[in-house]
Amino acid sequence: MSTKSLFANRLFKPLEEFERLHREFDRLFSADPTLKVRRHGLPALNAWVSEDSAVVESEIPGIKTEDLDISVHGRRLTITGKRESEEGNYLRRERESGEFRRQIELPFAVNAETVEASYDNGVLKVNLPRAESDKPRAIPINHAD
Amino acid sequence: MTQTIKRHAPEASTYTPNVDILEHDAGLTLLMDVPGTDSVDVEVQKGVLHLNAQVEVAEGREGFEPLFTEYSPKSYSRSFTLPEDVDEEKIAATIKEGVLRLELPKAEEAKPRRIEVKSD
Repeated sequence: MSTKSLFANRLFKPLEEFERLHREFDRLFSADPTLKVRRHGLPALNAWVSEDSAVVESEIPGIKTEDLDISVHGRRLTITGKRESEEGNYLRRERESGEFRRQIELPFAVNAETVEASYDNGVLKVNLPRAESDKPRAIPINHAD
Repeated sequence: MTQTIKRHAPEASTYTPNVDILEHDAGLTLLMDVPGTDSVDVEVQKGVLHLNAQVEVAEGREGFEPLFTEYSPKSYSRSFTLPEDVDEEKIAATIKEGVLRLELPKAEEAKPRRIEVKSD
């Protein structure tokens, strides 16, 4: 919150500004604590696994898909990208911008060729089918009598 | 030892989404992160701007176990007191890639108007 914003308002009413500040602080301290993950610039991820595949989701609004890179190597998924910020005179700035990078380790190897990703309404969804070579196989036990 | 201090854990069902506010000659631009939705309720009541959006939350996925959960999608809600010189009739809203963009133009009256003095 810059002091510039207090004076930019032509109808500067001291008491109203103090009330407003009080409300802003209230809002700051009552915000959901899980928001902290986002405030630190790393996009938060949710992941699910089944026997055959994994699904990874992340909320990264306002990204151009050409600024997003998803790569897979063995069990590791890497998501890198950047969010550009608008030029202008900011009265309030809460949204993060800049580069980000997340790497996660999956419980099985994934075939890069079968990975699918979609980006809708600012949510990235990555579908990662398990690699054939990493699927459990029944091992016959040789039993000598 | 008994715990005498209780941590305030609000059972909030909504998130207060992050917002950027930019100022330019014609008015203000407000950008709000609302990933997971493409419709937001924008309402102005008595000079207060109310922004609300519902987000579909999947309870779980059939056949899947959660591996890790770093965030839980919730609905969004945030309100702002509008500066007096905003033309409420001309507020324009668009949404793209989970970002809500509001243009809040300054009212014509707020711009200085010259009054002609007629002399008899």
